[in-house]
Amino acid sequence: MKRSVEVSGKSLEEVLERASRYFDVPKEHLSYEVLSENKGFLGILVPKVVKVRVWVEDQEEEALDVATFEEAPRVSVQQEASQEKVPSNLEELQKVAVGFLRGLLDKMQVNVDITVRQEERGVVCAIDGKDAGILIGRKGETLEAMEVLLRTFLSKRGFETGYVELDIANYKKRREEALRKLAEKVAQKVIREKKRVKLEPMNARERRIIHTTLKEHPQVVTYSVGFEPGRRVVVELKEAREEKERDPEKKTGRNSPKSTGAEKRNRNSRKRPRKSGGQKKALGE
Amino acid sequence: MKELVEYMVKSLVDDPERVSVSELEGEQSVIYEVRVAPEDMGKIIGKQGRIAKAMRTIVKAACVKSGKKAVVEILE
Repeated sequence: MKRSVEVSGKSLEEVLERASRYFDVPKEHLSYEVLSENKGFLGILVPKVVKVRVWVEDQEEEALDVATFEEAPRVSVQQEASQEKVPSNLEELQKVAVGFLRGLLDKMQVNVDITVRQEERGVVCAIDGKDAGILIGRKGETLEAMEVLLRTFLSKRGFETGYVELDIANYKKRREEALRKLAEKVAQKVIREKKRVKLEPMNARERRIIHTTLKEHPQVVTYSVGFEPGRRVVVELKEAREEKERDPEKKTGRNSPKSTGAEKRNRNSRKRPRKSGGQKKALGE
Repeated sequence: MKELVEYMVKSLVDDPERVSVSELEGEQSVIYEVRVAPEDMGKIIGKQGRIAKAMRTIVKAACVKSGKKAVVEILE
């Protein structure tokens, strides 16, 4: 069973920050689903609240006990987090990581260089050179695979592994930019065509990029559906999502395999009177 | 390629002494049969085969240079 908590906060960023402290794992290891988002409907009257279900992707942490998030004493947790920020054996970790990678890459007979740098998010082992392309693989799968082995290798030797990352020829940054562009483009499409769009399956890190890119978007919301490795982000009109939450009946209707356009129109027209009644405030605005 | 498989497996197990990798050469592909101590089986397979999959992906990438298909099999 996956551990998960429901957290509310002012922004997705803040919620994930708190969740990462609570689970004691880096944000990259968290998966989440936006349950509801209230962007402050009338600006001042309703506070901005985002409710998110967060869980840990990495199974290693499962043994920890489950508690509600509110119970976690915030101050002490913060202290722990700041202590953990810089592991005392940092130099050692860098040396071991590079040693392992050097051996691996030599045995793969590829011609590349390794450099290590300390970034805010942790130790980044950067690989670059003539053969870097081979090492990235299709959709970065070889890069992912090497990261899996590197982390397993390090954790076996007692290092904090959430702290270590691998990058090849700046692939991650380029991918992030591509994903941000994709997110914006999909958001436009959703608004233009007034229907939700399901993206291709992505890993947790990539999904998070889509979520964070669109989290402040005034018109669309994002959430994830399905299970790893087929988990996908869905981008949907905010008003459509909110309507679904108010009316669970409609949700089941939408989840049914295929509903014809005619059915949809009927349903919409049926709901219309109720909708206008429920949104008096909006009309008054 | 055999060294690569050995290197990966040995760096993940508790008992590197009991790792053996044998090479079976075919016409179009080479099969690498990996044997480890029974206690180490889980370590090279990983949860939901995650580590075994990672090793296979890396071997596949390394094949790009050698040009010959390589298959990794883990034997009990």
